[in-house]
Amino acid sequence: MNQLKSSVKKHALNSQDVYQTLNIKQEKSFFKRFLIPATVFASLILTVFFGSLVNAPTQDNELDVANAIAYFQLEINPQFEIAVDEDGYVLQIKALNEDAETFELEIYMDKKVEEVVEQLIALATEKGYINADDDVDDFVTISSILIDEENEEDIENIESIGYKIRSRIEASSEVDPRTNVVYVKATIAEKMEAEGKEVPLGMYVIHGMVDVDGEMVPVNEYVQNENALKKMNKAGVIITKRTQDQVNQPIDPPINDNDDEDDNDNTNDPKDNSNEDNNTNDPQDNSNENNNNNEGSSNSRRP
Amino acid sequence: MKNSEDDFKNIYYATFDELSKYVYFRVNNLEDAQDIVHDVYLDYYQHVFKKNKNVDHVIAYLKQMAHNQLISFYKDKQFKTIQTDILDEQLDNIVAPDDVELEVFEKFESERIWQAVNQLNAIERKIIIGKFRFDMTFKEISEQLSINENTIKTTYYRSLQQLKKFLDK
Repeated sequence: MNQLKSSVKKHALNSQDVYQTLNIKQEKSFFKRFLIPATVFASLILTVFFGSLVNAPTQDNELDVANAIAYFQLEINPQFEIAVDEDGYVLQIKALNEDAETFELEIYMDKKVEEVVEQLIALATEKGYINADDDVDDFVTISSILIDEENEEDIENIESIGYKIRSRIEASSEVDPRTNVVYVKATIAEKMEAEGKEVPLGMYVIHGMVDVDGEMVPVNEYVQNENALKKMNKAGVIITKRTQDQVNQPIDPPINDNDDEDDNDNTNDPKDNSNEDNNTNDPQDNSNENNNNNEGSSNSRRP
Repeated sequence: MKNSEDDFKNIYYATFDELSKYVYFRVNNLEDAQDIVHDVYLDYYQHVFKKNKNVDHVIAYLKQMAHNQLISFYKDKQFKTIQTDILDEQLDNIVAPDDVELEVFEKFESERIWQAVNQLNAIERKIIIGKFRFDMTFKEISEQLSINENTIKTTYYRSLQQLKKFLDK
C-alpha cells in the first residue's frame, strides 16, 4: 500500500478509532460475573464466622458478630469498620488502615455506636486528622451497610441507628461544628466492590466509581477538589451541625412529612430509597437517650 | 442465547466500510461523518443488539438508521451544498496522470500527508478519500457526487499534483 493510501486509511473514518470511541464494555466472563463475587462473599462470611481469617484486619476487637445486623464504616482518614447488633451496640471494631491502628479500639466494645462514632471523630480531631483551622474543609464519611437487605426488621433497626448517629453528631459538643459529616447508605455489594478496589467505601459510593489511576485518595485530600462537596451532597446526607448555642439541646425526631422538609434539604441521593422520612416512624427511637448522653460516657453499657 | 461483544465486533467490522461510505458522501466533512457513524453504531448496540432484536439485513438496517440520523443532522444545521461545478478554466492546467506518480508520496510521513490532504478543497478531499479510503472507482465516486466521471478524474489528478506541491513546500 502506498503512503498516501495508508495515511488516508489511518485518518479518515478509521474503524478501530471509531470502535474505541463507542466504549463498549467487554461482557463479563462467567469467572468475573460469578466466581469473583462468590469468592469475595465467601471470604466475607468466613471473616464474620471465623474471626477474620480472611482479609484479616490490622487490628481486631470483637464480641460475637453472628448477631451483627449491619456495619458502619467511618472514614476520617483513619478508617474504621464497626459491626453493630440490632440495638446499635458495637460487636466488633476494626482498624482498616494504618492511621486507625494508632487508636485504642477495645474501649469501644459493647458501647452504643453513635457514642463510638462521636468519640472517634473527636479523638481524630485531637490527633490532628481533622483541622478546622486550616484552609481545607474537613469531611467525615459514615457509611452504613445492612447485612441482610431483605430483612424488614433490620431495615427499620438500621434506620433507627442511623438516625441516632446523625442526631448525636448534630448535637455533639465534642465534634467541631465546622466538620462536615456525611452519612451514606451503602450495600454489601458496594462494600465488596470498594474492598476489591481498595478504596474507602464512602468515597466509592459518593464517587460511583473509583478514580482513575487506581490511587486511593484519603478523605482530606479528596475534599480539596472543589466538586467534592457537591458530589457528597448528592450521594449522601450532609449532617448540618448546629450552631454553638443549639448544641446539647434535644433534637426531636421529625413528626410528619411536612416537618421533615427542612431536615431533608440536603438529601438528593437518588439511591436513597429509604428516604429520611423513615425517621418519622422510627419505632425504636428514643430521643432522650440520643441527646442526654452527649458526654460520650464510657459507662453507657448495654442495659 | 445472549449476544456477546465479539458478535457485535463482527457485525461492526463487516459493515463499517459500507456504512461509512454511505454517510461520508452525504455530509460535508469527515468529522460529521465520523460522529454520525459513531452514533449509528451506538444506537444499534444499545437498542438493537443488546436487546437481542432480530435484524435480517444488518447493513440495510444500519443505513436506515444513518438515514434517520442524517435527517436529524440536516434539521439542526443549515444545509450547505458542496461546490461541485468546476469551471473549465480550472481544468486547463491539469497534468497528465503519469506526471504525478504515487511513489512521490513514499518519502513523506503519514501525518504530514494527512495535513496536506486537509488543505485540499472539499470536493478534492472527497475524491481522494473515496479513492484511497473506500477503494472506489471513478464511476462510483461520480455517482455518489453526481459529477461527471471525467471531471472526477481530472480533479483527482489535479488533487495529487496539489498534494505534491503542499508536501514539497
